[in-house]
Amino acid sequence: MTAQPSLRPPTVETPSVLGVERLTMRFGGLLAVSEVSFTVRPREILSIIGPNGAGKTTVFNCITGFLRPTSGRIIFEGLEITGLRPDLIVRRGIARTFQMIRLFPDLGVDENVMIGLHGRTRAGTLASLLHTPLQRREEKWVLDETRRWLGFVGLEGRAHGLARELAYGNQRRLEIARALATAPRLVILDEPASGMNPAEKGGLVQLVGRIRDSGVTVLLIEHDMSVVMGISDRIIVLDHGVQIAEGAPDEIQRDARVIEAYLGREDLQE
Amino acid sequence: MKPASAPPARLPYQAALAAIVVVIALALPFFGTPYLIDVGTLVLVYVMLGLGLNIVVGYAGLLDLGYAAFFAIGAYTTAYFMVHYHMAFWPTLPIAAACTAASGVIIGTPTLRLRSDYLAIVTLGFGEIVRIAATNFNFTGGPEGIYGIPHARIGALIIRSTPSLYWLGMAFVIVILVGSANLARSRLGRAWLAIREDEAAAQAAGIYPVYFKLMAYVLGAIFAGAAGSFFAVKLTAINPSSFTFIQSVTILMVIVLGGRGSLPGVILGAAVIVVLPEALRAFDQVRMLTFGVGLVVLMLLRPQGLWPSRYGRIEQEAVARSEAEVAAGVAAGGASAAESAASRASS
Repeated sequence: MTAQPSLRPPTVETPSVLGVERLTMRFGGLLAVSEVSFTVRPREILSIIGPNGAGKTTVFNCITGFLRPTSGRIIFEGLEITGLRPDLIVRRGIARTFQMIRLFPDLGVDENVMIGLHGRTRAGTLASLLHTPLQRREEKWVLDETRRWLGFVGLEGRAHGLARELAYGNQRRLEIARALATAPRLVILDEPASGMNPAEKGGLVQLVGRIRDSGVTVLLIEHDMSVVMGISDRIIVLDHGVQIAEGAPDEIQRDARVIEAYLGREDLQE
Repeated sequence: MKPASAPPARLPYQAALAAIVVVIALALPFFGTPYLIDVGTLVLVYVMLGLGLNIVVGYAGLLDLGYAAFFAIGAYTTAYFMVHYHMAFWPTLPIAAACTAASGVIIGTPTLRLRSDYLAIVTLGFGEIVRIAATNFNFTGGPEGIYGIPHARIGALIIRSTPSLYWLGMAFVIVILVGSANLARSRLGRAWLAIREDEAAAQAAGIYPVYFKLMAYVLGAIFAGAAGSFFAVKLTAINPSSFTFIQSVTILMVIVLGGRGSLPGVILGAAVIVVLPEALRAFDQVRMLTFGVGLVVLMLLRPQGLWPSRYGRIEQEAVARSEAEVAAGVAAGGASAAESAASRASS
């Protein structure tokens, strides 16, 4: 059933960053995710693909604490994080972006990143109220760090504009910068290429590569096969909440069940 | 229309207006009549209250229709300890802060998971409970309240004269104003903005909304408590009639009129709310009617407030833009309305 040893590469000795064990999510009578298990290895780019309604975003929401799974466990760096509050999961080192971009559109581009630094700063109520030297030093660090992350995603010149004024592709980049500002060891991107033009997609692929090169593990949900096949180390395929395949991109492209899930059953030829 | 990417420019009249307000505020105790200075002191009380409520409503985007309750708790705490325990004014301030902070937690905790319409009802109820409790308890003096509150002193100096009370109020305002400005550009201020804009995105950035909403209530409550403490030694007698629902609404009007989230807006709003009814005394019987009409006209002309915050201005521009589109679409006769909306959008 869930364990499909034949599909799984020999990972026994590889430590995993994230382990998802028999994750099940039920909404009333709807079984959105059923007994999904996988591990994410350090510094890899793992993609989850599948048709619409396959339960990909639900898996993401369970990992990031926005949903409490019906059953199953989620292990991050050896510690169970199942059902933890989203903000605590961020502080453990898992950052995310949203399928529909969720920036703070009326705030500045720089402020969006500064908010991402929230969990890495300490200034409390009293220090903020009194504007203490310690708080001032921290704010200076916040500005430096903000500039660094805007530079990393290529938005250094846009710091003082409003987030809503950015082009669509740049809004995605800003959302990624906000996620990276939390200093995650695992970043989860939910359909980052959706709505992008080919040039923007190329830039995104590059950016995701650089994120991985900086030592951050990437978990990706994506529809766009040109993006997924180009950058993924491994791919997991979900269909109707069930994991139907796992493997390297070229294996996935040849997998009969994957083709069936995407193109429909070809009964006549069987 | 100006390109939207331009940095939020100061409206041209704002620098002049700020200068005029500062000059009046400083000159008033030297050149004003005692009546005018007293009106000025009342403006200061509303500035303190407006700044406190601004943290809750303006920064954190929560609603509070019972804000006068914190004002009452501050005033009663100072009055009670000064009259019954013969304490000096200053040591009652931390006690008032502790009491209002505690009541901020009490009102904040059950309301944190409520949406704004329920929040309005719960806070309204809290305001009424505090007022009715003050009317009925013995230690609060019942409907008569507490009177014979001593004046505040600094060493041998007794703060009793109208100008000295004005300066004491000014000191309170400056402390609260600096605190508010510091909060706005701090980690706390950013967390509030994030929660106000998009709570889920705030959580994804590592912010725990419950804590920061509670902190907004607590800080707002402490500021109102300080205003109450000052109010008690200013009037030397307090009673429940100062802390009605209308009082809460008046404080809310201060910040809506001035511009939510905007510190200069709060100051202007407080000035209008206090000075306008005084200036209309000549109209006698229709005074409050005129005041009401005046407020309605002001809000129609400047829905974003007299001195909107950066964010209020953006909101307003977006609204004006769609207004202009609608007006342009409605009829040729509506052309002038579209023009005025468009001119607002470009300001």
